[in-house]
Amino acid sequence: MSLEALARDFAEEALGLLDTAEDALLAFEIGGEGATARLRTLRRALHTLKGNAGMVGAEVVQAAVHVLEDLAARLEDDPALVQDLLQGIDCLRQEARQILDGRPVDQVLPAVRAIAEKDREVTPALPLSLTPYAETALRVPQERVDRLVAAAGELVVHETRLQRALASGSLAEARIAGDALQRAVRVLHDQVLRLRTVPIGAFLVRYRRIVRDEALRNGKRAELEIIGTDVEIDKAVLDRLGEILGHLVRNAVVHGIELPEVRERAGKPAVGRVVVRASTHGSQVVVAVEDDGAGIDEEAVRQRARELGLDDSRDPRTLIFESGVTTASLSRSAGRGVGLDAVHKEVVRLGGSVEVQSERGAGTRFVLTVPTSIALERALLCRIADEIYAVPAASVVEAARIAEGQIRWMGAGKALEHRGTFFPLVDPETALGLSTEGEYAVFLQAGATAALRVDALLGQQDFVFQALDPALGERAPVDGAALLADGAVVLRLAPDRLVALAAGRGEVA
Amino acid sequence: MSEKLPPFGFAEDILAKVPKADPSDPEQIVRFVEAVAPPDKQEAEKPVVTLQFVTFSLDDELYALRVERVREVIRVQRITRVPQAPAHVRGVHNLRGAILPVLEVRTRLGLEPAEIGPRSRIVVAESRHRRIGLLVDAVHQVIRIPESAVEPPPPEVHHRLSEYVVGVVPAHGRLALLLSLDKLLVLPELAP
Repeated sequence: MSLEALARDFAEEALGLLDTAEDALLAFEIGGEGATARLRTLRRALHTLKGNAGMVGAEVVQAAVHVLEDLAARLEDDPALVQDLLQGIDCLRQEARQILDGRPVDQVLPAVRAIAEKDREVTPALPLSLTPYAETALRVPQERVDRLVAAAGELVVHETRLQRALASGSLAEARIAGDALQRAVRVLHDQVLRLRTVPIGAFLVRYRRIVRDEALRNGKRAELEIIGTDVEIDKAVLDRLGEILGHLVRNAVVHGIELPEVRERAGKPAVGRVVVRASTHGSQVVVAVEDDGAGIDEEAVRQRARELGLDDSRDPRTLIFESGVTTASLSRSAGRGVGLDAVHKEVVRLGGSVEVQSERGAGTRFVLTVPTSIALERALLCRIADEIYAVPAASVVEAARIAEGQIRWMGAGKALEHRGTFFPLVDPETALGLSTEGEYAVFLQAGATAALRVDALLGQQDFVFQALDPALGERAPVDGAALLADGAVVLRLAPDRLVALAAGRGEVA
Repeated sequence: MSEKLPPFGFAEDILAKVPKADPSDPEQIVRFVEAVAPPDKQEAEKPVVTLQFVTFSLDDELYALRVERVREVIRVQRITRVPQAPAHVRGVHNLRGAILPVLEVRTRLGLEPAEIGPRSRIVVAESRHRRIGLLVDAVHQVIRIPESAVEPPPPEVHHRLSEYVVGVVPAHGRLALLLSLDKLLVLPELAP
């Protein structure tokens, strides 16, 4: 294993250990039964982290963790040290993230170095220079890889059988082998998708910290309960869901949970409860964020809707997802709410939905339903005339600025002269019903390569593409659709059809 | 759903109160109809069959559709044109994350393509587990009228329209042309 891989593994694992440590620390702070056990968990996590740091030669990090271990040892006598420990964990987390992003291990963050210096003396870092890492790593249990290998093996067996049947000319045998192959492909597909799934619980524990910090900042008391930690979810979905859930959890504390004195007057316990509840329903994951706070002030929502010129007779539960109606207006606490319309849009982009249930005085529950896994596809957004299209990034060989002189008439169609080669040009009029004099060309590869003239390149984005209704796409040079950030539909161009169209120009006519 | 739906009112309001449609649930159509038309006590005694219609307009002309397969009515945000799409397909629209094909009812009936204005609406209908949107100039109300008040189409209906018009119903003090959803949804390209 290379040094780079070692460093990356270290950072990945460090983030997990820091989450465990933080979780244990926050649980210890709440107190009650099992506080000693939590302290042990904390110490064990720190100890493992220290050992790992030593193994990759991150000696400053090692010294810093050692300082934190010392603090943890004194925690029982001095609970105020929780704050110092949390700060230390934050610094180390930042350090680990930077290592994951490709920063060399020996360029330690000043904050981490400062902690380490509290130790007796700092050992100079080893002269390790590590090359950058861009992609994020995913820890996959051995057992899943084994199953994948087994599924791939099945594939080979059935393929051989199919070949043999085809060679012997037995259609019946070929059909049987074909069916078996199809089943094996499905199993493999399923296993591959499962590679990316992770238990949601390890991710959700970070919200404990948000709940604690937000409550502290707002003079409230609140605790987080997580239910359904074993629910498995695609990491790609989780990465995008994470931010949304963070907003909702924060909102629950800031806008949902009341001040302790208000709660007590209402006969509720002073400490508010936020519950994140995950469950699986078929191919969907349902995550609910609940609080036992004040609930949504429907009158305030209607009021705000009126101010915005919206139809205020609509159900407030749908109104709050409108742009401009923020959660800030729900509690009248000024300007800190995250627009729920943003939450709604993001969930919809993931192919999911969001609903809200609320009872005045009893609490609010947001229910997010998202697919267990999604296939994210990178695409290049282009403007052609006044329309926007997504071109699958995998098919884009190059995008370049072109001059009118490069376009050459080839008899039956046009070609683009570029880098000493002629590329057939897609005629935008025939393909898309658009006319453009665009000064950019996107070179698409699908068997052959063709050039597509566009007016502007709008950058790359990851999309969840859905299939188009076949009634629309029989002939269309588009084969999928996704949603843009503003909720409009963007179509995915089908490079194979465009390339065929451009190449076929000469033969038609 | 705690509140009973009003038997009359703006179509959008009523449809917005109907529980979320789930295409895998065959009971939903029954629930939908029950929700829109709470069983009337008088009805139980007298066997008068009442039908529900959504009324809408194209230019100044009034039209009606049976409500049973209408899922909801939505505002037009942005319709994305689909290149080389079959005739009468206006494009695709976002329906809470799903991609909704939108048909141009106007050109279907021999009118000019619609100009999208503030009153433009998309009537979302369900056909064989597929959602399809119908672009119309404005949606008015959900009306209930006895079945006996539905008249056959008048002979004056132009042959171009006759394919789609299956009757006339009294609505808003006028007569509305009752259109067949099935006929509207058939795309000529896909017809055998």
